[in-house]
Amino acid sequence: MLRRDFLKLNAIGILGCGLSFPFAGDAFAADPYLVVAKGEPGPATRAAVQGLGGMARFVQPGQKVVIKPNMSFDQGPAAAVNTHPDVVRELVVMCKEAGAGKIRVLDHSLHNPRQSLERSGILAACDSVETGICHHLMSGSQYAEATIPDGKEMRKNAFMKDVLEADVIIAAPVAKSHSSAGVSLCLKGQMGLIQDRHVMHSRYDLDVSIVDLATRVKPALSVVDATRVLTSGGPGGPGRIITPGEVIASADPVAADAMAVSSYEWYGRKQKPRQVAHIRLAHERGLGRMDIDALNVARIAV
Amino acid sequence: MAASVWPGLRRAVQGASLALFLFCCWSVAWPLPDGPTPADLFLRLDPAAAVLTTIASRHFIVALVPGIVVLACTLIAGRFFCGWICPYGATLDIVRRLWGRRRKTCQLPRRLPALKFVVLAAMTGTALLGVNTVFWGAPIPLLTRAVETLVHPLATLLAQSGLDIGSPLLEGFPQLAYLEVTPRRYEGMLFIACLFGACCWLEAVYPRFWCRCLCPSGALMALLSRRPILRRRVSEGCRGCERCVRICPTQAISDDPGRTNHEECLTCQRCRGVCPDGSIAFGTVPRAIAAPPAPSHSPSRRAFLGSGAMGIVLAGIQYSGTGSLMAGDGKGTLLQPWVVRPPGALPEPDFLRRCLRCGLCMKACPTNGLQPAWTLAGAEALFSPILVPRRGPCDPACHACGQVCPTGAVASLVPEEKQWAKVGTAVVLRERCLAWAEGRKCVVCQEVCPYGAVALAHTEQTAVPAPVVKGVKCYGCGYCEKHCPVRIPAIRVEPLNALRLATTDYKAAAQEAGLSLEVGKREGGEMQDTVPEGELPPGFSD
Repeated sequence: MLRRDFLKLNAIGILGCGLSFPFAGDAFAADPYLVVAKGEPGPATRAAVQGLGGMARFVQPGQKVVIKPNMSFDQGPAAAVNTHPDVVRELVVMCKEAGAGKIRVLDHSLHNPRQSLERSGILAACDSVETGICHHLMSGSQYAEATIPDGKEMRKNAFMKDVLEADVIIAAPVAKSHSSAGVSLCLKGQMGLIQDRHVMHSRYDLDVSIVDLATRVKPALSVVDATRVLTSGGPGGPGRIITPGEVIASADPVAADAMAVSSYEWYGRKQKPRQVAHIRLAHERGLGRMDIDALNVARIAV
Repeated sequence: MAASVWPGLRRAVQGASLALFLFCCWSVAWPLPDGPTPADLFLRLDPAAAVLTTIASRHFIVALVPGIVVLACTLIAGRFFCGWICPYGATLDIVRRLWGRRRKTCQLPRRLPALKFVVLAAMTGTALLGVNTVFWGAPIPLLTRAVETLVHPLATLLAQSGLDIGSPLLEGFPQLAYLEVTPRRYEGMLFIACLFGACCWLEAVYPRFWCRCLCPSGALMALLSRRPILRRRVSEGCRGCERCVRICPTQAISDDPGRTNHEECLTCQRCRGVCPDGSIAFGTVPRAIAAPPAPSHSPSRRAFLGSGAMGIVLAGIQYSGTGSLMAGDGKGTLLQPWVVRPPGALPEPDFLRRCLRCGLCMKACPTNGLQPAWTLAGAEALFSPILVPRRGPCDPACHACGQVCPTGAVASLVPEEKQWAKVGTAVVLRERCLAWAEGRKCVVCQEVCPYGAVALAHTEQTAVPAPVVKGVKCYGCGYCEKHCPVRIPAIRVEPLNALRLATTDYKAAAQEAGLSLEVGKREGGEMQDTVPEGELPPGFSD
């Protein structure tokens, strides 16, 4: 009951924010395409998803959900290389509220899996809601081969079995720069759901294969944690960290990525979404929209 | 206490000892608890390892004192260690039981038991010249190595297969469904299997062949147990049935049941158990009734000196190799590019003199990166640990290898010192690197480097920023080598500029050498946080 009351209150809060917005009428005629919520990580995440119409729009009761944060670096939240634990926790809580049958928070670690889970704070955050849902999947038995029918270069790989079985995938990356892909956001982050990432560098073109992957793994909801942004030195850091305190959410991962790219300075320079090759290619291949100027964007403060 | 109780009691002690040994081996698993661990409990008890390592390293190793104490105790109680405590002996006893009673054990050729003294003399010869060869035969390091690099990998393999098969049953239990066992892997397990297998096979024909003919610790203890204070004695009630002669696994009882070769007697109490008259006991023997011991197996003085001289020649051969220990790191000694030692390893000659090749460091290594070197570092470095980053990098937060090393061959370092114990330097092999050779987007090496040691070079030769290693920032941990997407890695850690100190002052030495090894910290300057006007950030395009 408490949870529901809290939800109602939140909804009213957002309504209030929305009404104060000049294009409030438009924003509520249909759910906005993109929501940028400013605030503390947890509340901003909730507000952003509520702004899109609430988690119930994405998760039906009984469904299997996989949440994919960044949690594969052995660093604490301040280093901005992993998703903020409060963002992940809020997503798990909202999935539970929506009645999800099975929730898993999964990644494929680069560093020591256990240390990464612990130092990122994400394991503790998940355990505080439900124990046993947060894992790094390292062993081959957790993966199954699957084809990528619409892949241009990469046409198969081994995917996490949980991902292949999932009804809903939620991308929840932290916003950070990436020395070879430009940025590491929702699209790039999906590389954490497959077993053999090496081939995406060594055999295929990295940008093309990121988009190939996006044709197979389509997040229903994309939430970019821009509460802290690693604008240089990514993906492993260290680098310059800014703290916009924002969470960007959309049903379209390309739009969420594009919004993150254009919202912040990368290496001290304003960049356009089209300058990130995999975002441009994803747009061109019809996987989403990077023309954010033409989209209905709601901005909320909590 | 009835005489028949003794064999059972001994078996119980022996079994408990083996169980404790296996527990010690198993307990060496990352993360280790703070403070001392029981991991090397048995290694410390090995007399040959203690004596010969001390001689070879010219260093009094406190941790090995118990081995010397065991040796001294043989003056009192004979080879009680072999019969009651040694887990290798216990293993062989179990193997013999597994062979069953169908097989008839054979009389050992008379001169064979002398072989162990030859082995010991040769090892002592090499040790006198500062070459440690005790790892070939010291029983506890041998068994530890077999358990850590042969039994443990097989056990993990079995556990993983079990989990794979059982996974459908675990679906409903989220905690269990994600249980993962990563099988350990080591190179050359077949060799250890053959060595171990040979000992087990011999057990069917010649009981305790290893202990009687090869074991240098056994030989050392035999030398001191010619006439121990507490020893086998036969009272006058003996009717000469010779059951004890037949049951003795080491043929230590001569044809006259009253006479014992105490050098060969493992004090196993079997004779006591089968004696129908209860006339056999182990205890002090009054001088008046002491029977002369049975003839000794120890070789002539000539054979002793000859095998010692042989050891000296062996040491000479080792010294005259290109990887000679005598000259240390410089002075014409060749350094092999793949011999990356664990962090805190002593300078190479000292390291090899002290390393028991017990494999504890390899078992403790959380990433499975420490591997037996085989012949990669020369014959004298057989079984010694090297870091193979492609298998597993050196975790910056871990120094388990130093923590478990019984002899300090890998120094035990606190985290603040370990951080500076550089093991090598990564080298980019440009002809294979995706960025350098093919102009493709990659730089995974820069992505994973915990020390921020991989910088990106913008040159006209390459279409994309390409990786270069900053030597002063590179620890040699090998995350780059581990994650390089090229199947045969295009970046490789070599033991260049590794810090190998006889002390533990790594921080001071590293700073004096101008190193800057800090995890997750990057000083400004060399890697920019902003790009100049008109230039694109890495990974962006126009």
